[in-house]
Amino acid sequence: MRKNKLILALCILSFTSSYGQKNNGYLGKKTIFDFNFGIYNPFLFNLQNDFRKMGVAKGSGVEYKSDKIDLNYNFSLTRSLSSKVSIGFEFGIQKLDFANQGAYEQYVLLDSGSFNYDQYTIVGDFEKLEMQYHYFIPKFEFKSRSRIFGVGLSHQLGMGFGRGKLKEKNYGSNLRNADTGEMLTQAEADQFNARYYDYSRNEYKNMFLMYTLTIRNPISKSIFFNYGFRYKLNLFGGATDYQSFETQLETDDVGYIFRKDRANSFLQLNLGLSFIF
Amino acid sequence: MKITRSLFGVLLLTSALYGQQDFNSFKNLRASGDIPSDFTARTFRQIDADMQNNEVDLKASKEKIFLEGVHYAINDLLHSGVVIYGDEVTMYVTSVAEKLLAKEEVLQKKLRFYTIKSNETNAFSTYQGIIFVTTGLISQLSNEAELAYVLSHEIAHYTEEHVVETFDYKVNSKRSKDQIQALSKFSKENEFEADKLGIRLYNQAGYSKDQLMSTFDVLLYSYLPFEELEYPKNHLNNSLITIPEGFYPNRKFEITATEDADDSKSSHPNIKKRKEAVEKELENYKDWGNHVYIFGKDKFEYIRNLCRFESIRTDIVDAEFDDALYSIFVLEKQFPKSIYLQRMKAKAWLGYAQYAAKGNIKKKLPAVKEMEGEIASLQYLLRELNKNQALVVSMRMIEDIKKQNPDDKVIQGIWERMVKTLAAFEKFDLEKYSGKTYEVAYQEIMSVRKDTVQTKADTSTVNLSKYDKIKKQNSTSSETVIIDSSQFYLYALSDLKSQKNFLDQYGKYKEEIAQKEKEREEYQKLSPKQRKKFDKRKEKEREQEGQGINSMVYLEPLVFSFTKKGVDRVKSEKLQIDYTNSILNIAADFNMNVSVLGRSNLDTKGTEAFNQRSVLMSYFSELVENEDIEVFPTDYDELLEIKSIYNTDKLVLSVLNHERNYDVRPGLLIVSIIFYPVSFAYVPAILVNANKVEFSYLVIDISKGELVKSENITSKESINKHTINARVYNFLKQIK
Repeated sequence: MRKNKLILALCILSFTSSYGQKNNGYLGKKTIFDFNFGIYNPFLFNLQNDFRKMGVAKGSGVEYKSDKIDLNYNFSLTRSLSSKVSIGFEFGIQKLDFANQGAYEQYVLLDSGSFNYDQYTIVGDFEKLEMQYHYFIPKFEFKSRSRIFGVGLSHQLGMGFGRGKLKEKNYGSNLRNADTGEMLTQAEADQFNARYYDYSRNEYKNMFLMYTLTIRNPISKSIFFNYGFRYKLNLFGGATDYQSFETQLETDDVGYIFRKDRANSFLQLNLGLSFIF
Repeated sequence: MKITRSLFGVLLLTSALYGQQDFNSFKNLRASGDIPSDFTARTFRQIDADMQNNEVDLKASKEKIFLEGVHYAINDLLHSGVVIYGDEVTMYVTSVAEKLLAKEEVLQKKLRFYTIKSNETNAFSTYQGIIFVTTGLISQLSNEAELAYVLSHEIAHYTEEHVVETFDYKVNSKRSKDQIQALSKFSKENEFEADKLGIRLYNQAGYSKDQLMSTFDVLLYSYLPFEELEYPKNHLNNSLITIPEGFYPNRKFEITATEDADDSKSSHPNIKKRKEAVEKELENYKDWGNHVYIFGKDKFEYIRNLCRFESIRTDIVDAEFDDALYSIFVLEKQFPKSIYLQRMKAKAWLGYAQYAAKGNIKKKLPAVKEMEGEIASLQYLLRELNKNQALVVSMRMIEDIKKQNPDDKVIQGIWERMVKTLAAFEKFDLEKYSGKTYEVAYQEIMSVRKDTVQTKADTSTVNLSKYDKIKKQNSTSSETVIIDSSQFYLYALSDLKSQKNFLDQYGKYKEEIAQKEKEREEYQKLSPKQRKKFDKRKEKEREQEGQGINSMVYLEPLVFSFTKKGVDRVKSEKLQIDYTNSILNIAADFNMNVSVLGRSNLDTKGTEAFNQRSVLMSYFSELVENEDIEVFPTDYDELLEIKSIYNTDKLVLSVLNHERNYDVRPGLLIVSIIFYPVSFAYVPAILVNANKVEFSYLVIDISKGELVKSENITSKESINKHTINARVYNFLKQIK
């Protein structure tokens, strides 16, 4: 009863003259370094794409699996500016995997100087396409005045710049003519891999808006466990580089990457450690 | 063994007699001697130990609930600041209990007795073997034998394990409309049993059969003051004030308590049934002693007076000013020179005046239809006085007390606060008050009127017209109004009107109030933009006001960690330890002189710290109870003592409330499972909202009785020792 009265009194008294804390960081520290893993499930993307399975090399062949979990990792440095606002930047690396097509149209010029060509379809085992994607995000971090910088919930807003490049490798194996069933020779297969995945041109660039909800819980005087959720809105994607006659990895595929990147961001869970100093 | 115990009892009593208080300079009851382990033990450890020893005859699932319930409830009480040990009252109670338990060695070792400073008339035993007796109960008793029977009754509750039985009954009884009645019946059976079994110890100790039944009368009339003395209608009158009799009731207020009251929903049977059952049981006992007192009447009356003096303090802390003033009136007959009673009287009048000025005094007084007994006369008067009258009467009383005790600092402080209250009361205008006393003014008016009437009478009978006669009649009526007795208060400050000290003090406060009013008016004239700027500046000023504090007394924080089921007491206690450690560690890092008074360090700091904590908790309780007024601390001199010991006048109180509640809604959960991407929005929402934390701090200047700084921070974050560290760090840094 007495304690209830004490609480009541504290509530009443402090309510009338309460004011937030000054710009004091966690134990006076105002700079934080975060290291996070981003874990995401491309459910929305798969839903849009009929749950296409991705080829994964297994022994000498390729096994087709559904795309369940993708990862990225990022580092960021943030400095508290005021009781509500902090500024920082983030660098991240993301592996964007996506399903390769199940068949490719092969165009073979019959005579040079003319536009006569032979066309046939190549089928085979295609491994998933792997794009290494890097991004950089200048960002602001916001918290309510009552919170201590670094502790608990904060909101991050930033404009990101990303660039992805297709990993150079032979994606196709066991290639054959779909009509005749004849296997491609090694030379033809090499030619196919080189022609259809033009690494010098297959680059993906974009800009995006990022919002991250982060919760940091201190586990020592300078280390936090953090977790949160990230949402990303792609603004511009560089699809023009892919509009090539010769390569099959063109607009549709870039759009495909673009969609995947966006879809992933909706479902991303961040987990990591933070160091405050 | 018997001889050793008797010697010990004698030694205890001798030491108590040696240190007897002089009631003329009474000091509040305080704990004394070594601190008992009941006060230093950690509750969660007590529970673990009891669980391991299978102390309770309950199913394992219920055992934990029971143990948590009883241990936390009792430990909360032990640390509430109202329980004392080793003091004269507790030692006396223990001595009486030892007499009762002379043949019960095992039981004697198990039981501990403590006193609760409360005006409730109560005693109770606990599962742990602690028997509490309130000062309110002892204040009401007529003799030692009555105390012995109350203790015997409580010891029987303990030996029969009624606490455990009642818990078991409660958890096993089916929920029904008749549950309250059933529980009431069960509880009454326990009471009858304790009444009957209590007779055995009482009889064994040699107490008189004749005194036993009067214990029930004590219980029946315990809601009345400890004495029934007529409160004379001229009690407050003196040469400077005359309160007309019309302000007092013109009848007696009947005492309505009956032995045969409806007890269908009570935990205890009514007095009639208890008396009947006990009388029947008494027939089974043949050999009766003739002791009314084993330790002597003087000793009992001394102890009872200690409790009665203490009850005044408790009344004032609880803003029960009518009870306090009546008790003072009773005790002044025996102790007319007691400075303690003078101080308390001044304090009670101040409190009454402050409540009256706020218009809240009637809430603190019983309604006329609820008044009973002799105290009703005083209560009626206090209700009848309007705001101006109440303030003036209080000022008069305090001024008179000050005149009698010109060198007393506490009374001086109360007087100053009274002058301030008077100055702050808008409707009080000193100009309207007469420089003459009521009696002088009355005599003067009467003589002038007599002369005028006589003079006029000489001429009126001859020449006056009908209309002049009517006018004359009206003018006579207006003269009657001038000496209307309800205006008595206008003459009650006659000496103060020309007293320099009063006028200086009054003028100073008036000036301060005028300055504040001016500031308020200027603020009203500001544009919204200017007001915003002004508010910001004020906020900064307030922040700076609470800075530069390098030493303080920090009352152990109160911590409550809630889950959906209620308070998680074990977690709360562990967080409290973390919180206390955090304060000490961070204060050391900042080179701040912070003394934490709390359970965590009682075993090292001892009884002195325990008493200091009790004083501070009582002070805070007083602030809470009287939040609408500017309280003058009842334990002012003790607060000054604490200030000098710790070399600081800053007291910090803090509360941490944490609530963890994962609000999972079945509908949304099903949607999240079926269409699992929804969970990616739903899960963060649950996690973010799961933890709510509220940190509250108050910094109080105990010598001025002012709030220096307050802060209330609510945030959605989980709680652990690190987050507590961060909050404490920020708080101490802010005030440093």
